[in-house]
Amino acid sequence: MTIPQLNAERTRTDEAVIRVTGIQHSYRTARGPVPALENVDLSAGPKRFVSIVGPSGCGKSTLLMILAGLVTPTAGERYVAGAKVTGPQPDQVAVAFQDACLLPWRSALDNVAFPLELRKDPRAEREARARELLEKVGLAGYADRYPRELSGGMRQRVAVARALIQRPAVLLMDEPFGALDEQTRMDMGEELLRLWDEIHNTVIFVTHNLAEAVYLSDEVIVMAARPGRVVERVLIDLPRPRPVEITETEKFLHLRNRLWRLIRSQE
Amino acid sequence: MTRLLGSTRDAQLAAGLLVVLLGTWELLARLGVLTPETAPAPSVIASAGSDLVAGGLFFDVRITLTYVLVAFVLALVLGVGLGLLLSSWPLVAQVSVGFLTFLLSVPKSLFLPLFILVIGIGGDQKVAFGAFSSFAVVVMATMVGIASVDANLVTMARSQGARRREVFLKIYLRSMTPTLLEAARIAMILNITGVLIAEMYVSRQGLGYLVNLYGQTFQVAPLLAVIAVITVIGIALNELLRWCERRQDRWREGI
Repeated sequence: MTIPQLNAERTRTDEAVIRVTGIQHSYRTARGPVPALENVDLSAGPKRFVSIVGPSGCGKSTLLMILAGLVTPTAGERYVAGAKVTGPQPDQVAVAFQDACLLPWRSALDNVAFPLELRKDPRAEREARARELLEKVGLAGYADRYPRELSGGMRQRVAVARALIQRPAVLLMDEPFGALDEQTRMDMGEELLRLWDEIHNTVIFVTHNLAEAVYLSDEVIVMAARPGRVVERVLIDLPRPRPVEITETEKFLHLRNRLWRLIRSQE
Repeated sequence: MTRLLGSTRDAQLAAGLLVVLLGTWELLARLGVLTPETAPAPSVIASAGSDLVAGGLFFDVRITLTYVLVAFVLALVLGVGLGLLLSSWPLVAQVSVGFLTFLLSVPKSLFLPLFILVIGIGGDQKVAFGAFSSFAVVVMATMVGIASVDANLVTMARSQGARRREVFLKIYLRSMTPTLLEAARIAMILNITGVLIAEMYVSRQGLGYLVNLYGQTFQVAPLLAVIAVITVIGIALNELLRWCERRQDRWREGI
């Protein structure tokens, strides 16, 4: 009886493209260590869109940085594609940061091509790929513009193109649309889903906007603060593709309210 | 940064003003308003200048220019190197910034006798004193430049697999380039001053030596001719570095 169970367990974990287990993390401060994350497990299967929501200070951004290999947790393990690893894995994991994080002295094209430059790909090849991706995010005519000449939304698209040029199995997004106005934010969400339909990799998306989380995701992980921990994993069984109108359906509102109550109950 | 001579029209105005000034000066000298011994006419200075060129002025120009450029490279390499080193430890950086601010406010010429005692009066002393005059500015600019590098950009580059060397070259050094170029321009001015002062103090050649020689022997026309040559060299080097600044600054100014 135990053997099938074991196998089932193994299949499940092998299936996770990215997984962290037993994550503990604390910040060192002058007044001693402050716990930021306590006993967090998180995994995402292939082609899943997973959002992490929670109040500010719940450590969701820190968790994403741990998933990216950019922050080493105090304790816990991290697996990418089944292998236990530490540090960034640029061939499998790409990150889109909160503020677009573009290099201000490079044109949009050279910003998008940056990861390939680090991989030492030939110039012609990386420029062709960068153009292709700029076109995909709707910025075909803006290749030669510098970041300061682009709007906030455009900069974030360049950042998404730069992440996608890595052909990542996992795309980690840290409140990428947080700084944008509500209208642009919805447009960007819609566009992200359209892009994702094409690429269909695993996305882990940190946000504090519950409607955005429900609209985009297959599952939403709800976190609580002090210390940062996972409270619940909510499956979003809305059909895809999702037109924007879906945000007005009863089911959508029901899911969003459920997330809201989960967060409220922790405060 | 505002450009002093931004447009062609500004440049024309400046050139016109220069011509008017020289013309007035020439006129006043010819009318006998100015004393020929202390304020010779521009035409007299020009002919003294051509005599100097015939007498081998370019030898001295080459000497001084060589000292200035070697001192410049030395100050830049050592200054950036030390700045990077000091920035490696936050506490050291904090202490040394305070120390450097203090050092910047001390007149460097006070140390000239000490340089002569330690190094002597040869070319190496001129180079050493030139480099010493501008060194602190470069160290300071390097440290300020490093402190202002956006940590998020470093994180971004690391997430994309950049190694230490690539992070240094493509993020740190590139972020610091505007600050460093500006520092280089100031360092160049301080270098020229340092080398010239060292030459004026003790030397047998170079433009500083000529300034001292003609000053001591009360030959104002060749003295002013040498000063004019030094001014032209100073402006040329300054403009060269400004051109570098503008070239790499395009992303900041837009198109």
